[in-house]
Amino acid sequence: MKILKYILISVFFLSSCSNWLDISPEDEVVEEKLFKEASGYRNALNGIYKQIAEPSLYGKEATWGFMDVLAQTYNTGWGGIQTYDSYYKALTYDYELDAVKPYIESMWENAYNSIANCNNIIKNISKVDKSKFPQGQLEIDLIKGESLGLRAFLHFDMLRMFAPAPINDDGKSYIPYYKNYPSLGNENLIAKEVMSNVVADLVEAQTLVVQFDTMDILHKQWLSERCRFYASSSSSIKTAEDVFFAFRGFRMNYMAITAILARAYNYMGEYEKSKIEAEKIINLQDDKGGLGSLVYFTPAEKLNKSKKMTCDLIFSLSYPKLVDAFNPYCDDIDTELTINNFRNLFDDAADYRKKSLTYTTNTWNYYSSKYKNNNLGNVEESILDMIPMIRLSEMYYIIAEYYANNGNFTKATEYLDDVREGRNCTKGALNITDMDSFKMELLKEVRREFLGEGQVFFYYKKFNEKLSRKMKDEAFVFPLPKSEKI
Amino acid sequence: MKKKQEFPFFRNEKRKIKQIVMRLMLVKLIMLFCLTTSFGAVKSQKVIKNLNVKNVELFKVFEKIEAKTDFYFVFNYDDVKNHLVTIDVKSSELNACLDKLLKDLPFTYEINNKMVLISYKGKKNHQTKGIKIKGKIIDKQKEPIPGATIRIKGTLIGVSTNINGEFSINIPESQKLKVLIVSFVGMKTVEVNYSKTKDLVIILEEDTKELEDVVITGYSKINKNSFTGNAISISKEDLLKASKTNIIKAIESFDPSFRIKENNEWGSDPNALPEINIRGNSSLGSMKDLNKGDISKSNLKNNPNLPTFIMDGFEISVTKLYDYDPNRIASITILKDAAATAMYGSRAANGVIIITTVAPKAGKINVSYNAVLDLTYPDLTDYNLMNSVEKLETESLAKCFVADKEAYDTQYGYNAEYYAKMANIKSGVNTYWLAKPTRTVLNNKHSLYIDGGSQTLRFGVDLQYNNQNGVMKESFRNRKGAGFSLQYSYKNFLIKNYVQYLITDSKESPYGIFSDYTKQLPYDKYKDENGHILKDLKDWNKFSNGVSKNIVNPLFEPSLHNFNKTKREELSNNLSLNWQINRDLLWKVQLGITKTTSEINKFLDPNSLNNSNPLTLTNLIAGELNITNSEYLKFDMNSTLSYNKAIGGHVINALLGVNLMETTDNGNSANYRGFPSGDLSSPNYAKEMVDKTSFNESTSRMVGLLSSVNYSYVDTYLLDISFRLDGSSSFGTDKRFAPFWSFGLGINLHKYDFIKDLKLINLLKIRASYGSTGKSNFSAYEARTTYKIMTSDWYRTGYGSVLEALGNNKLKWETTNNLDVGFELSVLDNRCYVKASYYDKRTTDLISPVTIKSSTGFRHYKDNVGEMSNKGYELALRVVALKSDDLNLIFNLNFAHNKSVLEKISDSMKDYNRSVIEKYKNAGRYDRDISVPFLQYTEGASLSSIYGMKSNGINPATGEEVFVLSNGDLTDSWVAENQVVIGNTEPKGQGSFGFNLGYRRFNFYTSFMYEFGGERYNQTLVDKVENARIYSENVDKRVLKDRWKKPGDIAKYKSIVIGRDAVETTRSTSRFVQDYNMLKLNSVELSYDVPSEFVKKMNMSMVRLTFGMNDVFCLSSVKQERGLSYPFARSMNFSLKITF
Repeated sequence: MKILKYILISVFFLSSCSNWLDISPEDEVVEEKLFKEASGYRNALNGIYKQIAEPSLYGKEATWGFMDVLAQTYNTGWGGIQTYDSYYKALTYDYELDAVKPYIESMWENAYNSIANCNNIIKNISKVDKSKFPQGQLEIDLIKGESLGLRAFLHFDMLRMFAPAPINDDGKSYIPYYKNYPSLGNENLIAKEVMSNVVADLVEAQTLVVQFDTMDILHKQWLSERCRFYASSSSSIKTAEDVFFAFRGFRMNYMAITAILARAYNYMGEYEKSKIEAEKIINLQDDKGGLGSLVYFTPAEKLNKSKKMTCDLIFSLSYPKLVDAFNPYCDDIDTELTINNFRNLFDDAADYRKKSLTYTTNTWNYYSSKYKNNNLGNVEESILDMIPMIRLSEMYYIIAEYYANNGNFTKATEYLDDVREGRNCTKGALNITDMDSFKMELLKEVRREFLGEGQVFFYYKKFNEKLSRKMKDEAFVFPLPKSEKI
Repeated sequence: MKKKQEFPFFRNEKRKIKQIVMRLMLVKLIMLFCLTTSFGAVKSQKVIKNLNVKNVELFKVFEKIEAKTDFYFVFNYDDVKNHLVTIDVKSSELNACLDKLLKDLPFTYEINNKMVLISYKGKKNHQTKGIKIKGKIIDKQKEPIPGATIRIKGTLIGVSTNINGEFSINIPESQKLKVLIVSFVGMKTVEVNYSKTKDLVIILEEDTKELEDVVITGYSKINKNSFTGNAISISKEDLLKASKTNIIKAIESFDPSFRIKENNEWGSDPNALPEINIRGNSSLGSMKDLNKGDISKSNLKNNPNLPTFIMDGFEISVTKLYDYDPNRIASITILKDAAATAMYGSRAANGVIIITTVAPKAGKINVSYNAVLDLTYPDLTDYNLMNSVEKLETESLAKCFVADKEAYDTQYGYNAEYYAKMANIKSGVNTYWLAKPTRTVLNNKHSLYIDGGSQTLRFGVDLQYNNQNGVMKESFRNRKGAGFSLQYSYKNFLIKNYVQYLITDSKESPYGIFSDYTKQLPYDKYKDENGHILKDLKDWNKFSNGVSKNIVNPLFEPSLHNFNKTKREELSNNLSLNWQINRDLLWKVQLGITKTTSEINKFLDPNSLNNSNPLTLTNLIAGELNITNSEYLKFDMNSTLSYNKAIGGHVINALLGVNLMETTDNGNSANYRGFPSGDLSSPNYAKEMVDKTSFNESTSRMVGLLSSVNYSYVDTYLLDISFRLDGSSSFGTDKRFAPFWSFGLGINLHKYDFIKDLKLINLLKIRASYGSTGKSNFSAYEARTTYKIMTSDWYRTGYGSVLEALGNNKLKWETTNNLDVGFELSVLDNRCYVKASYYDKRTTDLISPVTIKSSTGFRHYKDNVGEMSNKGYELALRVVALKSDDLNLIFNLNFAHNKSVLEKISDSMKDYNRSVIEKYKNAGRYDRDISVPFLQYTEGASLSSIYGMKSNGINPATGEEVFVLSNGDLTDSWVAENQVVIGNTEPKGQGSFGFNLGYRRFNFYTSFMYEFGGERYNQTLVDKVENARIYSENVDKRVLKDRWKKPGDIAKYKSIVIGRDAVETTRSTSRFVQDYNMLKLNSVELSYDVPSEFVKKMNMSMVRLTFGMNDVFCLSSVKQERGLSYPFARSMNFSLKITF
C-alpha cells in the first residue's frame, strides 16, 4: 500500500537520527572526538603542561610569586612589596584575607583541574589500540607514564601546601586523591595515604617512562642538556625530529619522575629510599656512553647565556609570557620583587649565584636574573619561557639529609659542599656539627639555590622553622579554598 | 442529473448526529486548497466485487462500498442506523448492487457524480416532477465559489456548485417550505427563499466565527467541539482592536495567564523585548539578580520561561513576532495545557502560541492598505520631583547650609553657596531635567497587501513599514519588510511558498540612562551663555569645602558622536506541499529556512569620558568601536500524515509526523581603538585592533516523532491522545531521546436530550487533560565533556587542549506535568459564555548547575535538580448584552490566579543564597547597591518573593528601626541571615475586562487590565525619600513628610540626615513592602466605516477610520517611579484602512 511506502521512507529517514544528533562544537572538541587519534592524546598531555605553567600555578604563584613571597624572599616597603599590594597582605600569613584567598584558590583549582585532565588521559589511553600511535606501545606508555607522574606531582604539591608536614602530622585527613575521571568528589585522605598514592603513581610512571628515555643511545641523547632544553642537533647528537619527543626537559622525563620520587621519599622521612633515587640521578653524570654527562653543575662560563642553570636542571615548564609576567615587578614602579637581605644571603663572594644570577639598577636593590631579560650579555632567547621545577642540587641535599639523619655530618657537609663547589664557592666553609647547624646551613643554601623557584617555603615547613617571628604554626598549612568546602 | 460536476474528495470532519443534515452538508474542508482544485469527472459506474455481509448495519455496507470504489455516500445516520442488511455480491455494477441492497428497505438512492444520495423512497419523486432551480454562488468580490453546498431545507436533497459557482437543483413539488440553505466552509451559511421565476445569485460572506469553531494546533486543525485541550483563539479583528502595532501586547488582553513581565527598568523602550510567561514561571533561569548587568534587554535567547511561538508551522523567535506586522496575522491560538501542546514535546512546557498568517485569496486583485499615525509621548506622572525653589528650600530645611562647628567650618562658605544657588533660581534657572532626554514623537506605520489570482494559482504580496521612535531622544526601532506568497494547486496537490525579508534597524538613545536625569539638581544650568552644552556641572560643594570635583553633565555625552546601533535582517522561505492522497489521508511536508544576520555597532567618541582610556595629553588613543556580527541559520522540516474519518458516530482525526530542526549560530566580535574624531567612526580610521577578532559557534539539532488522535463518539464523548518522542543534540549521549505525551477526556453535556430540552444551554462541555511536556532552553554543548584548544600559545612540545567543562551524559530534559480541568458553558442563545479551568503544573528535573568540590577539577556541572509548581485557575466571561442589526454590545472579562512555588532547590541555589548574604556582609553602611532586595531561593517560596527583614517600624522613642529576628526577638540591627520572605510580587488575581459597542458604522472598544493582591518593594520611597541624598540629588517631594523628628513621633521614615553627611543605606525591610493593586486602561478605540455608497464612488470596497489610545492611564496603590532607565510612554493613534 501507498501509506506503507511512506512510512517506510520515514523510518529509513529516521534511522540515521541518532547520528544526526551527534554534533561537535567548532570552537571546542568533544572528548570522544579528541581521543580518536593519537594526536588527541598528545594535545591533551601538552595541555596539562601548558595549564600548570600558567601564572596561577607554576608560571608565577607556585614558584617566584606567592610561594616565594611567603618564603620571605623579597623586600617589603618602598623598592619592595608595597604595603597596598596583595603580596604584602600575604606576608601576614592570614590566608582568610580577601586579598590572599584567590592565590590559594586558583593554585588549588588549576592543580586539580589538571589532575582531572591526567585522569581522563589515563582512562582513555588504557583502552586504546596501540596501532593508532606512531610509536605504538612505547608512546602509549610514555603518555600514560607522564600523566601518572603529573598526577602524583600535583597531588604531592597540594599536600605540601594544604596539609601539615610529617613533622606536625596530626593524622587528620586533608586533601583528596583523584584517580578517576569523571568524579563528583572524593573524600579527603590522611597525609600518609596521599603519600603512598603519590609514591605508587611515581613508581609506575617511572617504569613506564624509563623505557622510552633510556631504551637506547639515541633516546638517552634526547635527555642531554642540549636536546632536552634546546633541541639542537649536532654531528654527534641528534635530537628527535618529532617535536612531541623533543624537549624532554619540559616534560615529565625519566629523570624528573625519579627526582620527584626522591623528593617524595625525603618528605615522608624515608631517607634511605630517597637516597637511592637521588643517586640514580647523580649517577647519570657518570653514564658517559660517549655522550658526556646528562646532568652536571652548570659551569660559570655558561651563565652569560643561560640564567637558568640548565645543565643541572632536570625538569622545567614553559610559560611563553614569563618575561611579561615578571617585568612589572622589576620596573621601579609599584611593587618590586627585590631580594630580601641580599647582603647577608651569600657567604662566598665568588658564588656565581650572587655574581651572575642577580643584578641591580641602583646598587642597593637586587633582583634575581632568572626571569629577567635584562640584556646583560648575550642571553639565550629561546629559554626565556623556562620555569625551573627541579634541579640536580636538590638530589645532593636529599643525600646530605640522609647522612645528617644518620648522624654522619661529615658526609652531609660533603654533599652540601659539592653543590657549593658547583656554584663556584670555596669548599670547606661550612661548619656543621649537629642537626641544628645542618638545618641552618641547608636552609641558607636552599635560599641561595632556589631563589624564585618556590621550594624554600617547603624546606622551612619540613623542618618546622618559622619564616618570620610573627608567623604562627598553622601558617604552614593553607586552608582549603571555599570552592572545596561545599 | 448526470451533469458533469466539479466535486473533489470532500471529507467529513464532523457529523452532527440527530440533526437532519446530509453528509454533504457536513463536509467541512480544512484545507482550503481542496475546495479549489477541480477535476474532470471520472467515469461514475464501477464494478463492485466480493461484497458479502450478513446482518450488518446499512451504513457499514456503505462504508465497505466506499472502500472499494471512489463513490461516497450521503445519508442521514438516524434514518439508516437501525436497518440491518444481508448481501452477497460477487461482481456487480454499483447500480445493480444498490438496487439489491435497498430492495427491501424504505430507501432509494440517487447517484450524482460520485456522490450516492440515500433518501426515503416516498420522497424520491422530486427527480421527475417539480421545479428546477438554477443559480450561482459568489463571494463579496463576485468571485464564484466552487464546492459550496445547496440543500433544500427540511430535506436530504442537495447539490454542490461547480467550478463556476453554478448549481442546479430539482425541487420536489411536495416541498412546501421553499427555502434553500447555502453553506461553504469559512462563509456564513445563508437561507434563501426561492421561486421558479428566475435564477438565483447568492452572495456568501466570510464568517470569522467559522474559524473559531476550529482549534489550530499548528500540526492540524481540530473541531473545537471535540477538542479536550485548553486553547484560546484570537481573531485578526480582535487583535487589531487591542493594538495595531504590538502583537505581544495585544495578546495580553485576551488571556489572563499570558503575561508580559513588568519592566519597570526599561519602560516603553522600543528596543526592550518583552519577557513573557504563560501560567507563571516554570523554570529558574539564570541566577541573575546579583549581577544584573548580564541580562541584555534585547536578547532573550535561552530564556527558560518563554513560550514557543509557531508561525505557519515553523518556530519563530520572539523578536520576529515583536517586529511583525499585526495586519499580516489571520489568527492567534494560545495553547496552554498538555493535551493542546504535547505535540510540541520538548518545547511545550511554557505553552505554545500558534500564529497563522493571512493566505492569499483567489479573485481579482485585491488591495488592502493600512496606515497608522501614532503620537507617543512620555508618561512622567509617576515622577514627583522638586523644582528649583522647592529643592533649595528643602536643602535649607535639612540644614545643608549650616557649618559644622566641631569641624571648625566657617559659615561664610555655606552662606555663599546658598546665595549663589538662590541667585541662579532668581535668574530663572529651573531646569526640568526629565524633559531633556525625552521627546514626543509621531510615528507612522504602513502596510500594504495585494492578493489575487485564479483558483489554481494565487499570489500575495505584502509590504510593511513601521517606524517606531522611542520617547528617549534618538532611540528608535524601524522595521521594514516585504513578503511574497505563491500558491499553486494541481489535482490533489497544493504547493505553497512564502518568502519574506525583514529588516529591523534600531538605535539606543545616546542620552543613556534616564535615571541619570532624575537625580539632577533643578537649579543647575546645563548650557553656558553661548548655548554650548557644559561638560561639567557646577560643583556647589566647592563654596564650603574648597575642594573641586568634576560633576559630569549627563547631557555632555549625547552632544558627542557616540552610537549604539543594531541592524537585523531576516530572510525566510517557507515551502509547503500538501497531497490529498485520498478522501481520508492528507500528507503534508513543510520546509522552512530562516537566515538572520545582525550587526551591532557600538562607538564611543574619542572625547567621551566613558573611554576605558580617556583622552589626555599623554594618551591620544581614545575612541572605541565594537562590531559584533552574528548569523543564525535555521532549517525546520515537518512531515505529517493525517487521517480523518467518520464512521457512524465515530469521528477520528489522527496524525503521524516527523519534525527535524537544525539551528546554527555563528558570531564574531571585533574591537577597535583610537579614532581621529567622532565623525570618523569607520574601522578604517581606527589606530589599532584590541585583541584578535573573537569567534563563536554553536549548532543544535532536534528530531521529533509525533502522533496524535482526536476521537469523538456521537459528538458527545471526546478523547485526545498524543505522543511525541524528541531527541536533541544538546543532551547527554545517554539521554538523548525523551517521550512526551498527553491524554484528554471530555464530554459535551449539551448533546444530551435532557439538557437540550431545557432550551437554555447551547454549550456545556466538561474537559480534563493530563500530560507531560518538556523544555530545553539551554546552550548547545553544555551536557558534553569538551576540550578547549589552547590556541594562544603552543606548549614546547606541540599545541595543547584541556578540559573545558564536565559533561553529564545523564542529563535529562526538564519535564512539566500538567493537569488541566475545565468547563465551558454557553447559555441564552450563546448570549452568555463562561469558560473556567483549573491547572496544576509541576516542573521536575529542573536543569541547574550543581556545585561540586573544586578538587574534582570543576566548579559545577549541569544536572537535573529542583522542582517547581504552578497552580491556578482561569475564568473567562463574555456577555452579549445587546444584539440587533444596528446595535451590539459585548462585555468581556477574564481573570487568572496563579501560585508559583519552588518545591525543591539545589545546592547551587543555596550557594547563591550564601553569596547574597556575603554581599550584604561585605557591603559598607553607605553602599547604595544593597538598598534593593535580592532574590533568594527557598523551598516553599517563589521566584517572585521579596526577601528582607521583618520590621516593626520606627521606634518612636529612638527613631531607630525595630527588626524582628527569626526567633521573634526584636533588635535594632539588620542581620543578613535573618531575612525572610516579606512579600510576593505575584498577584492574587489578574486579568482584563472591557466592552465592545457597535452602533451602525461605529465601533467602540475598550480594554482594561487589572491586578490585585500582590506586593511591591517601593524602591522610590527607599532611594528618593528615606535614603534621599538631599544635598547632592533631586528628591521626591515626600522627602520631609512622615519623618521621625523627636522622641514620641510615630513616623514612617527614619529621621532626616542633617547637612551633607552620607546617608546610611536602608537595607531590605518589610517597612517598604506595599500592597499592589493596579488598574490600567490598556486601549480605547473608536472606529468608523465609511458608508459603502460613498466608498463605491471612489472605487473602493471598504474604508475604515480608527482613533485609538494606548496606556491611557495606570492607577496603582504603590506610588513609585516607573520606567527608571527608560520612561514609560502613552500613545494616541489614528489609523486608516482601505481595501479596493
